[in-house]
Amino acid sequence: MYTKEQISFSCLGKTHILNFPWEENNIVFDFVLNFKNILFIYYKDQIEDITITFDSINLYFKNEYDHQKLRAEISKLLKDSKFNAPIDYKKWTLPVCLDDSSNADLDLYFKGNKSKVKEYLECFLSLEFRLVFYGFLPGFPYLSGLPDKMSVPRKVTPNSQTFKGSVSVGGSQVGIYPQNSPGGWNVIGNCPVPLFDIKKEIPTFIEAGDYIQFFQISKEKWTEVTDAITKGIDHPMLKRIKND
Amino acid sequence: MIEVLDSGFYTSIQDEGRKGYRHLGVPVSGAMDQKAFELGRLLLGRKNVISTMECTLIGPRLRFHEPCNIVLTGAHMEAKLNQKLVEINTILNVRAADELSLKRVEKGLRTYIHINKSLITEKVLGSTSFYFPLTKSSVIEKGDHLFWLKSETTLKHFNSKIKWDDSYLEYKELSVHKGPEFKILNKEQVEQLFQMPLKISNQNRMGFRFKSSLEIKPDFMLSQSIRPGTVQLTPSGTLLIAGFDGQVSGGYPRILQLTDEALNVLAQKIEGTEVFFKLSNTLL
Repeated sequence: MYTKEQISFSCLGKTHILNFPWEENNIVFDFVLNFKNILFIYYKDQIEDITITFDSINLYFKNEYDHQKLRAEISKLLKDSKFNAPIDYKKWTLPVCLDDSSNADLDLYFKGNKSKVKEYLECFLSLEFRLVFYGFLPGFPYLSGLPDKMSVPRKVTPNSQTFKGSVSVGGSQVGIYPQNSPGGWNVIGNCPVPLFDIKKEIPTFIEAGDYIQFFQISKEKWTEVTDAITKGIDHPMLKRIKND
Repeated sequence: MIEVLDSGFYTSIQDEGRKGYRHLGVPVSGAMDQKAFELGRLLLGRKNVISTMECTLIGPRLRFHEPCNIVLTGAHMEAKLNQKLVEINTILNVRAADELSLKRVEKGLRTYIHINKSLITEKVLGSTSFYFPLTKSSVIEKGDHLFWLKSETTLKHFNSKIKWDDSYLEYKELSVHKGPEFKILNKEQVEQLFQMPLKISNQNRMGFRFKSSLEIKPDFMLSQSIRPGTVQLTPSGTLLIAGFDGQVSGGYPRILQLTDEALNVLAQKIEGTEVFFKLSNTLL
């Protein structure tokens, strides 16, 4: 899909970065995920990590790695590899509580205009997002799919505490806070279902490229699910995690 | 077993780090001063089992209930074994019931206590390095009992003396490379960046903050990968340098990257210290 001319190289010390123009469609997802797998296999012994962001693949080499050599190898891999291995993109629905206490940032952004907040949230619920990658904090998913007209700039002064489960908007990116943390994104609601569980062998269940749609739950339902997690008991909304 | 009599200011257990999980958003963790960490391994012998505590600003007071060998590296803190002053960068014999006490730093910021035992602590994603909330706590606490696996007490393949240069503890220059978004800076800003003294306004294992007069336009940049030593510049002029517990991606322009050596230098700088950036000559 992308040619070597469309890829730009940069680095952060031993980390080499491949940037490419990003678009949200299956051709790009297929290409990035397949290419990431190809690179992972090719550089397996030389790297300690490989990550993706919206528009980049990042190779964390263990030692210094020669630039020219890398460029030549990438060109050859781009030319010789097949990027059409089928990827099974799953669909997930996640509960979100959108009561006033969870969307103060949005209220602030719309200067207290309740009907605009309501309109924004209704539109948000109708959207289908895709998980692009995990970053920032353990299990923090970056979601794509927010139309430009719904983007909300990052806050100038970050919140000192953004709560666990906060569904938030930073520019045109959407994320869910896996833990309490300072944060500069605008909180619009809260998802009580944890997406990251360190007790599991694979701590995440939603993978890059998977589709996500939110459905609204009441504050009472939110409390019920949160209580179930605290007490370690089952709840229908937590079921899907156990399907892995 | 080690009994924690006093935890010190911020003492954590660190190993080689949690490598291979950045794709889940998990920071690498591990010792902030890799050079001091490595020295402990050199002295006690790489082939031996070693556990390491990273002590920041004020060290802990520990009672060892069984004999072992330890080495202190990194920052200089007044260190006593049973009220008797002991030296840094040298192997110490600890007997049962001995008490090790470290005071406030005199030079540097982080001291490492290396113990030739395998401490039994929580292992998460392949590492025992403390990082909350992956591990239950971010620091050791007063009253903690740290048990270790039974093993032979004799130390094999160790180096008792190594010629060691600690002068980096007081270096003020941080060697850097240009970062991917370096080009957003104009000529005057570049000049300023390499001339102005930068005062550390805040630091911890997640990262370092510096105030600067550099101002850039806010930009809808997509989040990008960062690693320990990546320097991001916020629109208000704050320079953020990622530490070993720092986030794995960030949304501000990455203007510089510290060399590994510069990260060791910075890890030993107390808040309020002034440092300078120096563009590294090595081509990358």
